[in-house]
Amino acid sequence: MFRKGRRDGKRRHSSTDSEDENKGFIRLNSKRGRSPMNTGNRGKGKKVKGKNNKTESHFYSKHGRMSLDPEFSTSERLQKRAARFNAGGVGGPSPGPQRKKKQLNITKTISNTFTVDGDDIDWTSMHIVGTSTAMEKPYLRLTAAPDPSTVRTVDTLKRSLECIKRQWVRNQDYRYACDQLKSLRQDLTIQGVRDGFTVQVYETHSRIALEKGDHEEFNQCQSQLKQLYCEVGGENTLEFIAYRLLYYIFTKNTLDITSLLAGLTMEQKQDECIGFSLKLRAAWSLGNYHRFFRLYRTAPKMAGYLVDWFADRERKQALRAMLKGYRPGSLEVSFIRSELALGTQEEWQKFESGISLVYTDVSKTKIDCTYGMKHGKGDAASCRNIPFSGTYGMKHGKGDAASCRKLLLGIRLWNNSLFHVHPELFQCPAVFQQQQQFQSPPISEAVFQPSRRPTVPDCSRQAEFQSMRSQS
Amino acid sequence: MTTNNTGQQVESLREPGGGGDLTVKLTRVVDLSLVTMAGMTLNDYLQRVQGCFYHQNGDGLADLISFRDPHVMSSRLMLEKPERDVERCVDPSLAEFIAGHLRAVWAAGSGDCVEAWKTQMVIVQAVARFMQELKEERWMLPIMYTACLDLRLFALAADYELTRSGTSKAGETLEKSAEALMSCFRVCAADTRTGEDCTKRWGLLYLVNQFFKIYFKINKLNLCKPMIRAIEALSFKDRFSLSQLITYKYYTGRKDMFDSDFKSADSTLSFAFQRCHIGSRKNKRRILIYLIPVKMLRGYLPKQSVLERYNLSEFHDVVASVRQGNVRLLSETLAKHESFFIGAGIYLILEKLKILAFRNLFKKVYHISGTHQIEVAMFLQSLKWMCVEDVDLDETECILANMINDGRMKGYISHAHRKVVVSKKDAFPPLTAC
Repeated sequence: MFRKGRRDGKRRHSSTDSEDENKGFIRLNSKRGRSPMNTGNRGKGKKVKGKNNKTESHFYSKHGRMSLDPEFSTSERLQKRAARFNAGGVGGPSPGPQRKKKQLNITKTISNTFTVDGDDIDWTSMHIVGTSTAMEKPYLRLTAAPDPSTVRTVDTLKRSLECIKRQWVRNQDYRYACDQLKSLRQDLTIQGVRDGFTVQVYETHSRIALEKGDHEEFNQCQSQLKQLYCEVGGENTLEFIAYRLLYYIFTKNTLDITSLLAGLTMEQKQDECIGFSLKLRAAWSLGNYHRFFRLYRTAPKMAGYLVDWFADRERKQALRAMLKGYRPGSLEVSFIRSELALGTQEEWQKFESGISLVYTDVSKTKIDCTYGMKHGKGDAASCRNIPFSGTYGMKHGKGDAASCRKLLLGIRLWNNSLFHVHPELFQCPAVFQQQQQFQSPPISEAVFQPSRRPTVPDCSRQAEFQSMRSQS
Repeated sequence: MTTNNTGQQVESLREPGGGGDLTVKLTRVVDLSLVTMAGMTLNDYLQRVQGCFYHQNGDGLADLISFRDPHVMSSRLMLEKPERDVERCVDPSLAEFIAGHLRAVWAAGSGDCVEAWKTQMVIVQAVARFMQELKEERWMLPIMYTACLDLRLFALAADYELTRSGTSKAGETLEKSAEALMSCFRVCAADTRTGEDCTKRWGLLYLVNQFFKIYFKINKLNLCKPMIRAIEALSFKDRFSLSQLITYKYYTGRKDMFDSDFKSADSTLSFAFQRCHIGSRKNKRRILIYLIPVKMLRGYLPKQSVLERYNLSEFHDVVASVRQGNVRLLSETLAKHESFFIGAGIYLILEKLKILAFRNLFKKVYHISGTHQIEVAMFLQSLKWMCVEDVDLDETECILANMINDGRMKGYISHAHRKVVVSKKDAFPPLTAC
């Protein structure tokens, strides 16, 4: 099937928009034995061949315009599907003669049961060749065979990919990049192109999804990549195997972890990325947070982005164990930060804002382990009631942003240490200004070379990605 | 290991992960009438079929379409297109699957397991239709059992063949077979109006076991859930035959294990192991492979005699290392028998035994030190002695904190003094208590 694809690839490159060329295609199709239509429709049986005789191949009929093949969405196909169910399903008792007719040919029943699925459109049997040279194209879900003039040529797609990459580096517009890449992938699927270029496209999309934290898209791309690597191979197979293992840790999918481990060879285990993933997995399965976060700091290539997705979950668990293990007593925040790889102030604040910790002192350098960890926004005490004395640290509540502003600013300026600030309070311009100093540097071209990320991760945008997907 | 319907012990040759040889399977039946059956004529066969149908002899009819019966060796029954002959002699409701069976015999005889599998798919669906026509009766359930079993076995062989030649992805034939089995499942499950003694729902457990075998092979355990729900909803779920119940418990126990529900896995697998017949050594061994890790995690170590009797030498070092707290030996053993453990899918669970090994090691350190306030450095020293790489004081504290968090040690760590203070009584509660 794939060899056929490549052969067609050569023919495809010589295609143009002219009708004559398309007629040329029709001529080819009329050669019985070699027509892709016929060979592709092996399973479909006699009916399709019959149709061929009458109106030539459906897809290139009518001056190269592809009219929607009636067989695809309507009666005949439905009938065929129905016939399959009759042959394969539990029908009621049928009258004698009809049974005899079915009985007559078990071979036929078998071939009916094993026809190509009615639901999946078998793109490889259609051999659509694109003709469009548009650089940009929005993504639209297809339910039927498309018009070749809307499908782009492989050359165009290559140029389009470079264009998308440039745009990405410049704007960081995930929505745009994702949309363009999806339509790029679709054009490749329609034309049955599965080669090194396809691998490149999927790798690019995976990397972008990795960076932005789009779990679902990443999973889609990497499962396609898994198949492509088996068929076509690629330079980055080991890297992506490592990402796959990390993804399984993220989804806690022990079954797939076992099968992945089963499939690894000794040489593969020596690879930098895979070795890292294996060590991380071992640390994770034993709850060894010390080793886990130590490895996390030195994650190779883009593995760090993936571990970001579940780093907080592991941190919370680790912190729980720590609070129990050192109870009663207290723990230096600096120690916790070094154990949990929360190096920067911003990271610590972000982590801390999701849980409520109890400090031993006002300067918040030590955490009181007697009290466990609570998730969430804490109690409803407003920010006005900040107990400066006493053993309890500050808990957030919704409070009144405006009235908190002065107070917070005052406190913040006075004490530049750890502080959980309610996200709402960032509305305050002065507080926001303070935050600006923690802004990350712009992302460079380096993102397309596997490298350690420079930014602070943001994994909280799943809902946004979901809505993007449901709209397309 | 199953007993077929005539009481013969027939070995299932399906080792996990192996493709089988069709001809080997065919020659494995031990039967004195082998020679006579192997020469059966078509007329003789069809007469027997008709006779069984007339007398509602489900078991007899099941044998006549079973590939474990010697009649499949008869070259006179290897017919590619037997429809005409079959229609002439046999009742129309049976004709389809009888003709299908003869075609399958032909395919198997010529060594084409893919064709045999495809034919068997048609047979299974025909059997489902046959069953649906006969309301309020369940004598024909053995026929369904045999057809479904043969379908799965052919699917395994076909899968091996198709994957080897690259025509399809691994597991595809099994998935399609599962769909065909669904048709039988639906017929049985829908039979809710009839009385308990003649309802077809008695066939459900056998079918569910076949589904389990398929889903475990293709690693789609999440599809088992509706099956389990269907069985649990039956009022007579404890009155199925013991062999079917044991198989059911074996698979649900394994599923619980994968879901990390060790308590439930323990009780289910223990039931299966205890009730499994003493002679079914191979099956008992298979159950033990999963029961041992589960029990060990709960604190019960198996005796050496058990391991020897069931030929499970791989576990010997694992047990010894956990008992001694020898972390190094445990790591080495896991690496040494990695392929065996991964193949059985228990590698990740056995890794968790390291925590028990640490606990035992630290308990020894505690006894050696003799005091209740132990330096973390002593624990670190023991870990270094166990060749744990790259370990420092902070990591030792991490391991200790986890142990306290799990309840395997009672005490607390003082980070500033780098000491561990353990409880004066019962510093290391017994493992079975957790």
